[in-house]
Amino acid sequence: MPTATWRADPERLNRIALDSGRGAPAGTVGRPLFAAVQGVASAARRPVAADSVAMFRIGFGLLAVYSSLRFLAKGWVDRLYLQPEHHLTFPGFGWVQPWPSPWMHLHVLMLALLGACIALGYRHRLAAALFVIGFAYVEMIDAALYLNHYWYVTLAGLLLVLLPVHHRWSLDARQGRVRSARYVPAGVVWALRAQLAVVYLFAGVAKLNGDWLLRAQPLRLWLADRTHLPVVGPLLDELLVAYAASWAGAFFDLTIVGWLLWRRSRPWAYVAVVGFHLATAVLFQIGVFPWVMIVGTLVFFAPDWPRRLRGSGGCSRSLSSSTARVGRPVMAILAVLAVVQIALPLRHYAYGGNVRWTEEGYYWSWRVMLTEKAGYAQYRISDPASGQSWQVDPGLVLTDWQAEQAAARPDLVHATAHLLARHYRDRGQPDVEVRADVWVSMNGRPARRIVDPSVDLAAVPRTLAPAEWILANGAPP
Amino acid sequence: MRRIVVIVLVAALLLAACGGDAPSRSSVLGDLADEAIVPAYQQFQADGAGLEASLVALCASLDAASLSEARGALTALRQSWGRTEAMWVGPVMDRRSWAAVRWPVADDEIEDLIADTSIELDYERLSSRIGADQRGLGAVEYILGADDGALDALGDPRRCGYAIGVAQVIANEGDRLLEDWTVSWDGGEPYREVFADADNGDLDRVVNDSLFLLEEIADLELGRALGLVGSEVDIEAIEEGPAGAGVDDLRHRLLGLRSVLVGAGESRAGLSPLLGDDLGERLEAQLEAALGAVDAIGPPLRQAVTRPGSREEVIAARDAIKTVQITVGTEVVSRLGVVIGFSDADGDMAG
Repeated sequence: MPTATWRADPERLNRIALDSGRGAPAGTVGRPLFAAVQGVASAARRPVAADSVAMFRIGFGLLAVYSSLRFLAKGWVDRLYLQPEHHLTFPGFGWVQPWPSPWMHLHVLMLALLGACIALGYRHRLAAALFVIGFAYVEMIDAALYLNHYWYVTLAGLLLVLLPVHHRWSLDARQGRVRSARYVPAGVVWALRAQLAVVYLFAGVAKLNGDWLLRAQPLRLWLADRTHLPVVGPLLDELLVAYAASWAGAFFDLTIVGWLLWRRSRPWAYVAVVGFHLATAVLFQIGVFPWVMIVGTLVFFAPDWPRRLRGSGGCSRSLSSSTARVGRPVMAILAVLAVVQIALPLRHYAYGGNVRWTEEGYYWSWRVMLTEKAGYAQYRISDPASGQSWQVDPGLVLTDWQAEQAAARPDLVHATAHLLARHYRDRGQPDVEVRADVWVSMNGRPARRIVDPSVDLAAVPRTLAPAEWILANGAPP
Repeated sequence: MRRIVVIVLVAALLLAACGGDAPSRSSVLGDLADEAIVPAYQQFQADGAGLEASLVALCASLDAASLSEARGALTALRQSWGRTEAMWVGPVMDRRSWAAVRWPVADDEIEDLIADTSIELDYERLSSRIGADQRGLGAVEYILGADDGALDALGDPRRCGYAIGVAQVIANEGDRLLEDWTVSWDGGEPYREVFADADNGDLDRVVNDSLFLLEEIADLELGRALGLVGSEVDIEAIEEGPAGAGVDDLRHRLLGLRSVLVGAGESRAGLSPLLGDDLGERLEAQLEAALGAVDAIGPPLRQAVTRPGSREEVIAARDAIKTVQITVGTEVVSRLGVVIGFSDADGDMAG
């Protein structure tokens, strides 16, 4: 058996508190860094009640059921995946296409069933793995539908595959497929908390820009469009409200993890979480995201909070309870995942330019509700064979909702150009050139051209390399 | 902790102090209705009555002066209808008024209708039992023609009665629209009040209507006629009657658009109080430039599109109109929140 696992040391179970930072062993004096690492590793192995991670799993599963059924009920499978003749794919993922009807409906229905399996803890690892694959597949079909919270669901789902969250309150444990365990290493709770912390912290850092803090944009634009709401509506076109909301939002995102971690402030912080996300749910159309965060942040409470809530006297410290294990391979994967998650939101620095304008490095970087862009795009086709040149509407290959997104986002403009080239290629004009004249107004600024209209975008391969054809001069400081 | 809260609040207050009081959306919409939309429909109603009266006079006295007067009345009505085009929200959409007022006509079907004496050309038939391509401004324009030969043809009482009947249908439409806006709409309060309620979505509709009008002019009409949109020249994309009033039509459609977006008077009005000074001024300048470029086109428009020298003027006018289109399609929709940037699916993709 490998020795480097997150497993409880039975001899220490009776002398450590189950939900506190106490208990970390004294490190080797004289080697502070090593000692600190040892201390953290030791603390991560410390057993804590498995209740909160089990609740996280149940909440995640139920939200997956709700979200999938809602998707079906609203007819989005047809509208967003089956009706478009083409999809604006991610670079390198053009091969990800929707199943034909009715298999796409069945796919989403299966996601709901897998969500139920996760909630019940029924063959949890397999269900969670299939859910993550199935969900990521749907997420990757059309880049115009990219949502930050889909990315969070994918990552949280991946954690549910890796971590032992199904040893308690699960059919797997009850039916003997896994060993029933009342404890998990503290690192399991940390990992789930860290995933939420990544969302809030990077979202907060992204708000530290002039538009958000000094111009109260884009909230000023968005709130002014919500004046019809009862009670608060008349206040929403007040400048003070937009500034207050912007600063409060940045303060919330940047600090909420700290408040949630601090035991004394935790209850109030959670009230703030609920209030903040309910406010966003009322003000903006962001679907299940508020509920995902409201449910997810419960994991910041003491690991035995469900038992405390029931008033059953807190977590037992009996040695007879077993602790679920986290093996070395899983720890390695978690370490890689951590590095990736820090690198992805920061990769825009490698591109240069303003990511809010160019959107290079925008995906999977938690730039949540940060920019209001309105675009106008027209495409010009040139056929060198005939010498003809003409303007086409993107509606030739896109639906209205795709065209709306593609009008303001350079990578989608590029994808549209490739779709148009393919459209004419399929009709016997193999060498058409496609140029785009695209104007974008960002956060209420005057419209600026965002794409070099002289570049034949059809001839530019879709890669992750910096796009020379994106004009940076419209970017705000 | 307290110190941080105080600092945040003070900073927010200081920043907020830099801003001014913005008028409410309802008040701006109310003003837009009172100062632009209702007057536009009043003018259309008056001009509709004027055309009917002038046609009655013409048929009573078939002479060149009466014919000229009727053609003048027709021009005035066509212009006033064009100025309403950027204001197609509410009753006009509900009634589908364009089918009664202006729709591309089929000359041969008009002739067939006049020639078929078994059909009585009364108001009831003309208002509801013939196709949109046999009535409206285009039909009157066809009957009145562009030269004096029309007088001879109008000697046929059926032809004259047909023109008067069609004008009555248009005039009635003007009466109804004005009544809907100022007296009662759909049995309730006048549409002016509905429009001024910022919650009912008419701000979105009026901006979208402006955008559609700009797209129609720049791409679907001028763009196609110039061969810049689509793969071949389509001169039929420009609807221009025998009088060759295409340039004049363009001008009045843009004037209507200007009154909606920035107002028509000295003090900036329309939607501009919601846009802010900077955007309002730029939009006004762009609209003036577009109007100036349209004025520079020598009519008739269809000929100008293909005539060397004039074609460049048409292209310049289209470019100027496209500049307005880009500003409305990006900055105005963004400033007014007409497009938030979310799809119907759960959306935080705006950022």
